[in-house]
Amino acid sequence: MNMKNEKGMVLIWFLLLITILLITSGGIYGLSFQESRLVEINKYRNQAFYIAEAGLDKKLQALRSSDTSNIASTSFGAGSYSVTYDATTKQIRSTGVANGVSRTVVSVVTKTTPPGVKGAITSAGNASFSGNIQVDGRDHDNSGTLNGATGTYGVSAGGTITQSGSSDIGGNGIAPSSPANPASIQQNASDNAYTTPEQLLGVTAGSLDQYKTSTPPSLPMSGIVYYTGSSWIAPEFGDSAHPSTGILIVHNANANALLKNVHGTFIGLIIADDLVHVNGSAEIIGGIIAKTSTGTTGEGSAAVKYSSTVLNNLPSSSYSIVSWEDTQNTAYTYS
Amino acid sequence: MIKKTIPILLLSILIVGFQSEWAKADSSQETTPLQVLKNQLARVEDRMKAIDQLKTSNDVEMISALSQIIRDSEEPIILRAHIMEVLIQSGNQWASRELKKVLKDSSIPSENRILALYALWKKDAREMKSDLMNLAQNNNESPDMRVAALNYLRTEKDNKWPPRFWENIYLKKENPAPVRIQAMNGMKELGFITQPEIMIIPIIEDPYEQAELRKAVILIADSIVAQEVLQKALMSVLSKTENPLEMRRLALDNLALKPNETILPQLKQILSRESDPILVDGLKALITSAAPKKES
Repeated sequence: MNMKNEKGMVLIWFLLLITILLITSGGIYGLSFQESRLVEINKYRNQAFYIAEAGLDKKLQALRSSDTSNIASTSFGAGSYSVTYDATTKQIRSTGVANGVSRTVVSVVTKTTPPGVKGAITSAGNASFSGNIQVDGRDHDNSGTLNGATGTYGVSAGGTITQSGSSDIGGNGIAPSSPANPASIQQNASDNAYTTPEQLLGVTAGSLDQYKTSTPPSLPMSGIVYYTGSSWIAPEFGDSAHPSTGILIVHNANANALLKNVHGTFIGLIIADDLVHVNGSAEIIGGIIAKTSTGTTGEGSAAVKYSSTVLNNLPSSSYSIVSWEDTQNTAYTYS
Repeated sequence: MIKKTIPILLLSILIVGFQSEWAKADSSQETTPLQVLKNQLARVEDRMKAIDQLKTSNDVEMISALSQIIRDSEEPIILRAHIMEVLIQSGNQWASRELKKVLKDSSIPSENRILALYALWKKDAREMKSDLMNLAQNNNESPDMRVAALNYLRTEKDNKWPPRFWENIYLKKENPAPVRIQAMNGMKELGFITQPEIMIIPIIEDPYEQAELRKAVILIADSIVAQEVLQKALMSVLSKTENPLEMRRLALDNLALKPNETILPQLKQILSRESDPILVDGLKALITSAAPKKES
């Protein structure tokens, strides 16, 4: 009798053990199932994130070509992205979708000074100044009035700067003088390479092709003019009440286009292969980039005034991200 | 008695030590001008203000810090320039010696040496005259250093350096173009270009001269050379195909500023054998504008 009872007890223990094992394995299975679901969701979330980033890059590139329109759903890799741009708040909202999982990145961008601008006048080679010209790298507003900021160099040259007459150069918070305070000029700058107008502006290659013309535009001009002729002599940009504005590029295939005897008021950025003589009462507010400047001279009261306000609001310019936010979208529902 | 005294003594030492450490930590929160000056993370404006407070000091630690900053090209150029100018203007003897050391040390980047030269020149232009002259003539110096020296010398209108000094630098073909251009600028301002036919025209016409110098000479020639002499030289540049295209174009542009019918036959001759489309267009335009106007 005792023997039989003991055998029954073993069976009960055995059944109990089986039950515990079943419960445990069921739990483990449940956990691993849930874990695999989480791994899969994370995988698609990551994919969606990188796809959203691609959309953000695409929009940044489009902005550098002055395209402010939204991007409709576009296939990319294993998913798609769609992008909206708010020109008022300068906010880009890019949503990436991968296998039904979406993720949105939100960025605020700002226009930046073109990367080719290193001074009120930037030259890849030597630069020479004579006459009465006044080059001021201190920061000015868009009417040419000093705004109190130190600004940048008056002249930044890849080579040597020569100065004569009453040509005054200032910058970095220092008033123009002759001879210039050496802290207001930069010589032998290693990063003043004169590449392409697009690179100097920080916009995508070919994005300025639509503005190319072999005929000098009528003045005063506005927007973007990309003159591809060999020389443009004595342009009269307009008076201070009706100035030329925007971006003027004087550049040809041989990179030897000449812009000479410049007169009048220009608010914006001038890019020229060879700049000779900023004359008379010429006033350039913004900046100048030249491959070479043989003789930048002002016979009257010519002035070149650096203005970050003007340069940060050019019709075509580089954008950079000022804030970035990763938005985890609504929870993925598993079907 | 001794057993009681020892713990009390140890406790007192601990308290005193702690208090002194506390006091030290407390005093370190007050930053001195020297600390601000040395702090590369501080605002440049604050570091410049610190210099104003330290300018008359002869503290060894400060001198060492300043010596480092004025030699360090990574430091903001405005700060380096401000240090040099404020110290030397304050009459600090150490500063004058130190800036001369910087100026004479060719291993220091020329940017820093030019800053030192400018501060010394601003302080006493007369005293620096021989240094400027030596720098300007020294072939081993960088072009920007030599140009800076010539740029400061050209302002000495009451105490001019002899014409020969300027001519030697201007005419020496081995000198870099910017150095020769700056010498030419100095000569023009000091009234030393008395014989433009010798000093200006041969350089414009010589196809083997530095193009940059020739262009600069053409640009200043208008105000110092007789029109017919300059016109002849420009026609010579335009007609010779061994001249670089940019030089011929500059000659054409300058001729176009004052069109003259006396050069019409020569212009037509040049046009008949010209193949460059830019020059062809320019020549045609010049011929049209130089031709005598028909009465309507």
